[in-house]
Amino acid sequence: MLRKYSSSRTHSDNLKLGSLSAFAAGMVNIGSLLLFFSFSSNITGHYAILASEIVKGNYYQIGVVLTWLFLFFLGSFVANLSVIHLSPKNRYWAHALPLLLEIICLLSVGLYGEFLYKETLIETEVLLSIMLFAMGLQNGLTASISNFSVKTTHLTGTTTDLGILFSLFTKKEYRNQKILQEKAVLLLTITSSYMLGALSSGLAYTVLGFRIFHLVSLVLIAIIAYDGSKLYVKQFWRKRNLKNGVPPRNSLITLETKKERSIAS
Amino acid sequence: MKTLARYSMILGLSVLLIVILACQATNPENLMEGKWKECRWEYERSDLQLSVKQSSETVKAIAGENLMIHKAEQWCFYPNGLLRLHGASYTRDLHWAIKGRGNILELKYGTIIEHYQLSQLTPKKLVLNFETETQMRGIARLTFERI
Repeated sequence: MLRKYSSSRTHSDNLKLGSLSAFAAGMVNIGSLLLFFSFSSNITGHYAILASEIVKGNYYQIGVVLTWLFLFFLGSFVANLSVIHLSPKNRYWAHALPLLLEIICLLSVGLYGEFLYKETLIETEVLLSIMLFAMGLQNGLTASISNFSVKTTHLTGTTTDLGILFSLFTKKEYRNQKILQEKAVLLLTITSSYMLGALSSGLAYTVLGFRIFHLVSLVLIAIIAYDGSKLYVKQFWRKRNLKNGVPPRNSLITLETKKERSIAS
Repeated sequence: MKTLARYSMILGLSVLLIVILACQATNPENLMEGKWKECRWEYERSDLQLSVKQSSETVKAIAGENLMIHKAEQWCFYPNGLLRLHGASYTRDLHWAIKGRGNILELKYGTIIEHYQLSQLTPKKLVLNFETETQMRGIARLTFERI
């Protein structure tokens, strides 16, 4: 999910990343709406609100909404910064770092809300700011590593793309194209995962309150752990095999290819 | 180095803009504190094509029927989150908080929670809006003046 970049990613990689991160985004967005009465990833809506507050001349609200928009931008900026600057050293950790930062943000919101929150306006706005930064991180990361195929924190683009795809499917030549079919499956998966996350958050909110952010963190940890386990388990077995004198699988394939070539010649 | 300087300048300017705005504005919580007197209750029926404005007392009786604030005439907001409602031979203490971007007023009384839209808040005037489903679906508006 996290290790591969841009065109080297498979449909399955994008599906896994898209479904899990959209589920997390749905949970966070509805959680913030229920707890703080404001969305944490509805950026188009926040721009509209900013315009309306400018018209009304409400300086306080203009400042708040501008800060939120800036933090979402900053989140996306930091995520891509990590991807492009740290990838040459270690691609997995370059891609996992934004998710780790997001987990820290969400856990701090959950813990502060559970133990320290006194419901003052400044606390509400700071906690929402942290969540907008976290959503920016997530959206920036998924969009960046998937070559803009996976965007999970808002569904405006996804719904537009689905509309375009389904209109394309009215023609047989497009309907039979595997790449378009896969794209439709990916977008439908993202939409349904987001909805599922939002519904789970809405239902869990009454029981868990701020602890829903711990649940979201678990989903994000699963994303990091899935790739980490694959990477490090593979490394572990390779090292162990080398120690025991078993040649790695790749070298066996090279050996077989050499044999075939010599027979053919 | 040039790029870093450019980015730092943009970041600094953005932060400066936000700080200037924050200094210009008054926190809605501070504006809210003090005594407010109910002046008007208005009600717009959303299920009728023409909006019907009814008299303040009738609107209060219909729209506020099931609300905690039904009998209140004077609202005193204290800084520690205490809201004291005063009416004719009636006093009730609630907890108040402002949510969202400063546009939602949340009132709590035990397990009952009510939310009102803060549509206008100036040093002298306060306007609250809320949706009502009592008898007829619509939006009610409460106007206050500072005492």
